[in-house]
Amino acid sequence: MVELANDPSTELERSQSYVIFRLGGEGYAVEVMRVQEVLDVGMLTKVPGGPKSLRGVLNLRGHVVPVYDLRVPFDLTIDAKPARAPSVLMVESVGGNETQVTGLLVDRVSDVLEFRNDEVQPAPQLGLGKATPFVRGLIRHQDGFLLVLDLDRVFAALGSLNGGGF
Amino acid sequence: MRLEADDDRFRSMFFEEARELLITLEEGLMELERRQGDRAHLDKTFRAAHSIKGAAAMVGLRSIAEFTHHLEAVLDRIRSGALGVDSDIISTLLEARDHLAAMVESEAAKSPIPSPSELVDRLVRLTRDPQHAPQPPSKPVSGPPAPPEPPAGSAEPASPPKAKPKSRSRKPKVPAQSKADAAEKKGPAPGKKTAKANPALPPGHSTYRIALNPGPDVLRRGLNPLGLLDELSELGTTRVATDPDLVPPLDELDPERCYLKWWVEVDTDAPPERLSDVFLFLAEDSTVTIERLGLDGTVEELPSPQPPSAPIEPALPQKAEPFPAEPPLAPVAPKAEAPPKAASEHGRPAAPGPAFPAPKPPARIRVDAGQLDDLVGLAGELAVLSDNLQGIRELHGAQSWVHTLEALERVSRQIRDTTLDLRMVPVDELFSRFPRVVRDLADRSGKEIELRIIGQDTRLDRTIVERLSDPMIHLIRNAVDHALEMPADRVAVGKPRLGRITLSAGHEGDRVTVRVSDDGRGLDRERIVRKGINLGLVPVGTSPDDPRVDTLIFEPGFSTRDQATELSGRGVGLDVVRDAVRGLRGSLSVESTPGKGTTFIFRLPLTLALIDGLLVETAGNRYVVPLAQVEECVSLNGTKPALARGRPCVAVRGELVPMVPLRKLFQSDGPPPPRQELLLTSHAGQRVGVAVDRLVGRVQAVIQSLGEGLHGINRFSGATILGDGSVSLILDLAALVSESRAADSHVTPPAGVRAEGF
Repeated sequence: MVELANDPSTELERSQSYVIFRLGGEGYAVEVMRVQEVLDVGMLTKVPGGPKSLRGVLNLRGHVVPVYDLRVPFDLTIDAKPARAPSVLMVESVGGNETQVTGLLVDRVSDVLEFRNDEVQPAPQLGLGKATPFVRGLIRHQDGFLLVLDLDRVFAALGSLNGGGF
Repeated sequence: MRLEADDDRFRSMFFEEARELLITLEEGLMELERRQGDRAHLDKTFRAAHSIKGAAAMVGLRSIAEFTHHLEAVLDRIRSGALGVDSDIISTLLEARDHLAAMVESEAAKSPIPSPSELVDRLVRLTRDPQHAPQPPSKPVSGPPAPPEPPAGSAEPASPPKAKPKSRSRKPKVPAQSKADAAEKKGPAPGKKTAKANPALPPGHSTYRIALNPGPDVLRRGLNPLGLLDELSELGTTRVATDPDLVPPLDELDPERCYLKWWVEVDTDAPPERLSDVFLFLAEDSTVTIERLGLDGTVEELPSPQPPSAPIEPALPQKAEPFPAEPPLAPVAPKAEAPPKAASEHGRPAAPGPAFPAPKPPARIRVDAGQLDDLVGLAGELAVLSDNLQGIRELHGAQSWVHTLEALERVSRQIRDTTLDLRMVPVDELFSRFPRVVRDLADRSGKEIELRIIGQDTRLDRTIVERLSDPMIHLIRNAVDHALEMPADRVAVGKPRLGRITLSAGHEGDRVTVRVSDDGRGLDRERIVRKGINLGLVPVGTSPDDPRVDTLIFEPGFSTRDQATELSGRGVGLDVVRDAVRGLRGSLSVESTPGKGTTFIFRLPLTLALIDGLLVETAGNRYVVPLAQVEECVSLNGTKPALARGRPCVAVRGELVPMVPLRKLFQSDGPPPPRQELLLTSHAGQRVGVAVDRLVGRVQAVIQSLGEGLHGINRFSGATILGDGSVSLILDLAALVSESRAADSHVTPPAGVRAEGF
């Protein structure tokens, strides 16, 4: 196992599954291993005084889970009356010593697709707006690109936003 | 790979066990001086050291085993009566214990530290030094001065066993009848036909016959019987026999099961206790019998290292106590001489007299804290689910559900209460650390201090007990450093020389109170007022008699100390202590009488996992307010708040109370309903009202953390799930009030705020 992972050619040929979702007209991909489940957004409890990106908390089978709106850190306009109810991607984040579940609000989850590692191109340093620091790669798909999100950086930003003002 | 993993597992078990044993060892050492002559106590202390040594050796931590060995050897010498206990010896032993603890922790962190040779030298000197021979006891102790025994074989394995005369009279003769019985009951011991001591033994040596049946699970528990045999062979010449027929054929063999029994004959000059000590770690399904063989062929059964109630095939219900509380071998001293006084004075139950069977300690198991938390969470969910079902029933009115639902509700609440109860531990787990702290502090400060502990059986949430440690140490340090006077000064003002610190715990309503009291000089109010005026916390001209002066000491940056001392922490004020207690949903207050002393009072919730709350609504959202924070609810029936110093206030029974409107704080749109409710709470000694739209009812809420990312939001202390499945945030009224003050201070002149804030 360890030796295999060190072999660059094998590593590139291995493939991974990604959850594909849409947000503000763009397609995004996150590793399927990090996504616990996808829910319709249900009863959200607002947190007055919380960061702007925090849309509220919800009850996930008895556990209180925060739900963030990625539009805030990505600087996308927030749709007050969306055409269809958004979905919540339940994603595992590592906070402190334990794994936590955090909800990310997205427009629509479309697919689960498999891509080889060599299909993931390095992300450009510019040109993706506020989302640039959170994108770790691009995947050419159909007639466009999917932005592969670096979830740890997203969570780090959301975490620091709590102190600040997003 | 697997072996390594097992190794790690055994080691982590060792670390856990060692930490507990180190606590026992420390407590034992602390009490040693006071309980001189208390054999049972000494045995317990010795056993803790011995157990650490054995367990360390078993998991291959040689340096720890060797270092512990020196400590154990000193204790052994005290036990044998060859060494008298004095304060210096205790200090050395405590130092050794501390180093041992450091060694254990450093091993756990995988960066082992060596044993300090200087400390080892001092310990070794204690095992040899004849100067510390015990003084002839001025009062009878529970045992006549035993003739000094040589350092027992294993205590100094390097030195050749010295043959010293031993007092035969110590061994009571066993009646002939039971001798015969004992011999009869023995298994097919190969040595039986030669059940006679080796006549060629040097004087002082005896022959013991040991039947060892370690039980089938001994290997699974990580104990190697071979180690026991090795340990025996260190004590003298051994002859070992076993019965290989007990092992099944290879294809039936379970490699983790121990099939064998052993019969061992040992010629040794070691006292019989040493033989028993070898078997300390055997668990309940093991059996060991030890007999001494006389030269004339008599067999004398020695008390088994396990409870005597089950000598041969005991199915022991509880963990074997390796020694009887009072070793029957010890000469029976008149029982009235047992010194229970010192013990009970200290607030602990006195050691049980030998005439009564020792009360069995409640059976305890170790539970993984994480699993326990999961269980608490699940039980909470179960209760919520049953609430949900109740709600559904009310909607549909199906009668047939009623009984089942009620039963479900009852059961789920019971489960929740029981699991919550599992989190509770006696505060003794916390208090028992402090005798050592006080002793060390007293030593360094040159003050003479007595520590009293009251109510250590009071139970509290495990997390609270853990987090209370630092605040209490802080207060105890303050008491030693500032409050208690030097012995001479105390005598000069007519107080007893011995300063006293009292720790007590008890119930007060549904809260637990923990008090730290001293009988020192009391708070210096003049100085506090001066300092308060300097800091702008109180108006100039405040009288030192104002009752609110005392609470100033909890303000940030407040310290009347002019310079830091070695004992008290530097720069950490009581505000940190108060904040820590608030974090536990508790409060801290102080009472002080000049010249008489000071008492700090912690008021704490029984548990952190569950609160009694008030469900309130504001701007369409529901929040839970901990009932403990609400003193009173008042309806604001269209009362217009008056402005006092730029802040809204309302009159409650003639008293003008500042009001914090929740709508404003939460920036909710729309006007409040005509009839609001005011939750009155106490903040910094003053009543403050928090206005909400309406009261919904009372709830019992299982508290969940809001998660890592939301810790910065102080106004909510957590969240809970309501009966309808929605999440409700738990309001922290104290934080809300502070927040609104902070917001106001931007618009009001600071001086005014300060004066009022006071």
